[in-house]
Amino acid sequence: MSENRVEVSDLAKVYGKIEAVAGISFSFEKGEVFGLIGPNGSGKTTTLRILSTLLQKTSGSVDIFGLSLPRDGAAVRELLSYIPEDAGVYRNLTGREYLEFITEFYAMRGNPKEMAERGVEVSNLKERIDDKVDTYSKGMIRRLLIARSIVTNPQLLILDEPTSGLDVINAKEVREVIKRVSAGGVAVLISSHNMLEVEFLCKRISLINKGRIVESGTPRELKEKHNAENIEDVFMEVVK
Amino acid sequence: MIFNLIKKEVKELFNKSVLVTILFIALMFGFLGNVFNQMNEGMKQKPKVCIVMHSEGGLALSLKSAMQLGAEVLYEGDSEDEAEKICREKKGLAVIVVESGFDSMIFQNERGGVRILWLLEGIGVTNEVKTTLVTALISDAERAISKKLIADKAGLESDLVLSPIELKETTVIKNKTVKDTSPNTVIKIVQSQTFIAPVIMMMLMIMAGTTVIGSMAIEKENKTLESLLTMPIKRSDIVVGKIIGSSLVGLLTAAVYMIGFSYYMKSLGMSGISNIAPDLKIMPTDFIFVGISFLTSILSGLALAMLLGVYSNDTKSAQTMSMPLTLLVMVPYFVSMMMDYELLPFAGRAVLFLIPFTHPMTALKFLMFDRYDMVIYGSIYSFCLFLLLVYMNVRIFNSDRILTAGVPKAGRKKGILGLLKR
Repeated sequence: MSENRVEVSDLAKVYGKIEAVAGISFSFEKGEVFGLIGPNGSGKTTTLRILSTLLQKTSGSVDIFGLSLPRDGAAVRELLSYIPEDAGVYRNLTGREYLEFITEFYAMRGNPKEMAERGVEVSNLKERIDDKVDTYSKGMIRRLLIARSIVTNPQLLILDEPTSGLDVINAKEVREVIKRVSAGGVAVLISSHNMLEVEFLCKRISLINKGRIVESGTPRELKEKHNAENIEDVFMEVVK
Repeated sequence: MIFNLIKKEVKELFNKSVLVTILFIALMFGFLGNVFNQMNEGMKQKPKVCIVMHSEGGLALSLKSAMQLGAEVLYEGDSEDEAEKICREKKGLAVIVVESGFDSMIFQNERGGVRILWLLEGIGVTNEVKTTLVTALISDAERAISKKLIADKAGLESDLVLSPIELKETTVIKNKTVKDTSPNTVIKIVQSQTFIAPVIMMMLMIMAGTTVIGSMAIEKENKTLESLLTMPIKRSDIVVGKIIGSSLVGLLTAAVYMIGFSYYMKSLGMSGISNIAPDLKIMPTDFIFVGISFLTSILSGLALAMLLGVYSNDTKSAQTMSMPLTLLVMVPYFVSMMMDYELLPFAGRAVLFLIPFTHPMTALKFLMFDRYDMVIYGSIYSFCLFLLLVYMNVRIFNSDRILTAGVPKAGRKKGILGLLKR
């Protein structure tokens, strides 16, 4: 157990007769962006939900900065920020009100008002921050969510398909924010089925298919090992 | 082709939760039918009366004959005490006393006196129908006397001939005695002061309950709940916060409705009706008990709504899950409007007691007859139910079911304190 590492070992999750995650192991540390890459239904979201304390594992172990799940669930929630895929916000609030509402829960990490103000800057929504979220585009909502997850000063940031459904400009902005956050010493775990995106973002990745990790390493290592031009080709090669 | 579409529609509309809802509704309708059936049976029986004859004249006997024809006479004699005792023992409805000198009074151009002591066990359609029946029998007797007087050409004043009986009524309802008042007036007084509580409770629970179920479904659909569950907030706080927030809005709505209703009653001139029977007036302090009853009932109702909301993954399923809640409100509403809770058979009372919405619906009636115990027990039960439902909700919020709404995980036996501390 390390206070700077997230360690997942033989993690399994079974729903009735379905084995969503079948004994996967990986680890990453603070200041690193780690990617779980795989197609839809491969077990990425289930893994992320277990690490986010939303689901309980069937077997295996999950240690987050020296804390064990599910035993230390409440303590882990004080360290992480999680954004689900296609997450929404409370639509009757303005962007600013949403940030103020969320940052109130993170008083242990800093001054909620200051966090909310920083969220206004990070979201870069300018004068639209005082409009009802109901009027926001998908990209604007995503920026607001990313902003709230960053300004609450997490030690672990978990993002499920962070750029899914975003246009090129918004997706690029989000990727740059993730890089900056990671450089600031935050451990970032992302899931994606966009294999080109993770090549840009992640220091190390694990390819996951049918609940099992089929390959792990840095994007460069994997490309060299499989003599492939990109991670997409690596993935096709290993699941053949 | 068309069969393929039909199959798809049926599959989409007829799922497990719809089936459970249908079965539950059928069960509740069965219960309601049973209750109303018993009420009908009660109405079919002749009203039981005791007759005390202090006068044995021909005209007085017409009254006795009318009663013997249309009612079950439990006692005939000249002792009022004996008659009242028998009437109370055998659950009779009225003691009818024909005063002495009944005939001679009439022939002296004065109305013959008849006193009726009504012994009502409660307020309900059955009692209302039966008292009306006895009153109709007295009217029949009065008509018969009028006919006789006309036929005999007694030479009496026309007003007296048309209305030869002077009726003096005392109504004893449960533990309250209301002098010089007919049972129908007493029933009207009680109903005018109590009918609003079931209406408010019904409107409130349907409105607030469906909102809570819908908001849970929207939170799940928008994944705001998923985000909230990963924040450093106790799961129990999420559950209690949601329920208390909705309850406060519900209570405020109830208070506004109550105030609006009191103005409405004043505008109809109904507020003065209780002056006829000051004993049946609801005291301002009683509203504290009513408020507590409403609050505990709303709390448990919304905790139940939240539990149903957990199993709603979208707005469509939220509508289906609202049905059992609506029905749970409708059952005590109809029963409280038509019948007296205390006159129901034990099984009926037990089922209604278990429904938390029954208590605020019946609270005003109970308080009117000083049955504080029933209101207190009802509030205690509703509060205990609220705690149990919160416990169940917290358990679900601490498990995968909040996201999967699936089968419970085995082997998780934690105490309520442990769960609340999470």
